[in-house]
Amino acid sequence: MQSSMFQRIVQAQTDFQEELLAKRNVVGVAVGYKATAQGITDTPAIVVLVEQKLPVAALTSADEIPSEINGIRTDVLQVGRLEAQVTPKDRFRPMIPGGVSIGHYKITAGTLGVIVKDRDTGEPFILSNNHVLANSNEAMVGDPILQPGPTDGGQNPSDVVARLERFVGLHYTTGDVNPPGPTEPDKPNPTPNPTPTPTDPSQPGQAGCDVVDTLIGISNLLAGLSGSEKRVQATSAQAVAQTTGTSTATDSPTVTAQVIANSVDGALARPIDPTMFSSDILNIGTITGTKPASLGMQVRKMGRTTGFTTGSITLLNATVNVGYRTSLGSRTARFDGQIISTAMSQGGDSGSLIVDASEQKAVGLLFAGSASATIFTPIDKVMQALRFVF
Amino acid sequence: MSSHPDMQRVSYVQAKYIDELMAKPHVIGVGIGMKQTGGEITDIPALVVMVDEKIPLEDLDEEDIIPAELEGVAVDVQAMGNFMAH
Repeated sequence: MQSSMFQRIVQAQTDFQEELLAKRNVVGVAVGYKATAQGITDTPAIVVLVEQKLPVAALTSADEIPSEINGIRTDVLQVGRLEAQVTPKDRFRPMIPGGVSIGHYKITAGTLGVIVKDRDTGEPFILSNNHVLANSNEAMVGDPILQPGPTDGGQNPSDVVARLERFVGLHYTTGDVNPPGPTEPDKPNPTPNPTPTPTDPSQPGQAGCDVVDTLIGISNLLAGLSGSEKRVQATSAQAVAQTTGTSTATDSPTVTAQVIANSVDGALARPIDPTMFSSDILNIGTITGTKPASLGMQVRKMGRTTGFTTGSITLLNATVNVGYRTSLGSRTARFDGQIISTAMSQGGDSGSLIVDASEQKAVGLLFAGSASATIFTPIDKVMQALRFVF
Repeated sequence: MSSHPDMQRVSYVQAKYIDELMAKPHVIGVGIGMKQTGGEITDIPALVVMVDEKIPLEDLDEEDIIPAELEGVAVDVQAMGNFMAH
């Protein structure tokens, strides 16, 4: 197309665009070549995009599209209804499915696994991880849960869709951000990797209260350096920064610490309006039951960051050390009895339900991974710990 | 899996040696799977020791080396990077 011709067409498009877009059925206007039944011609044209082509007889004269505008041919192209591509990071209204962005108001974002039922009352609850719905122990029951999660634009209070109902506390093996729980005799700390200090600038805290938490971290670090036993403590109900003797958050590996293995990183939230939630998972559908994992099993998931992905199970009964970024810095938590698959997740996919590839059966709850593997918890353990059924 | 005698054996060895293995540098996990050879998955049940990265044997202290087998069970070292909460 000659550039002078092109300019003429663009000018005509500009001049008549509003008029064309006002017509019934028109969803767009563009510049292209006229197409006929024989194919695309070399005649430049103003292309009018319509949702559906209608016989001229069915249109009022005002809604008819002229065959020519200022001497330039027009063409009518049926494109159906134009919609923004749905991504799991979107705000879903009026219905929120599983597999999309969600999060406690102080975190970034994770994934809404699926809607489950309370084992005793049958009430619908949102299933995801502790570190998605309960801010890695630092939340209180009743805290607001946003869809989408804060980093995807979820606003408090306009996007509050649920409130934290209950969660399984996480026990960390390094650092001292453990919830109250059973204690075991001291064992040597077997953690192989030194943990960055809470004020490591390369490990920013999570959204929400970064400044305050960093200040707490610095205060604790200073208290540790000066030998003082006074520490500024996090005061939320579930997570109290415990101090033991002269140990600090910068403990060397020679200081004894108990290793409590976790089973589940899980939490439930109570929908504010249960009719807003679909029992379906986006791109997967309805879950009809559960299935135990086995080596080589093909699985799939729908998650906030990587969307729909598949993988195969490579390891069973795995004990693993998993890094967590809490407001007080990086922590390590040990888990046992876990399932490992080929890589099928990234940060933000946590909380995704792992589903068998060929049946609508839940296999696990995704919560961690690396560049080469994804880690999830057997679904029966999650159901037991959080007292729900499908 | 429980019907597979080899898997029971791997499970027994896992329980017996897990604390010792988890205490070694670079070890981030221990699980039950199939031995991999040259990136290919074999049908040999193995105790899989997950490490953040593989280190040449000559750079490791003797006590930090992961044995190739334990009580007749194959031990496979697999590099996984770092596990983070996702």
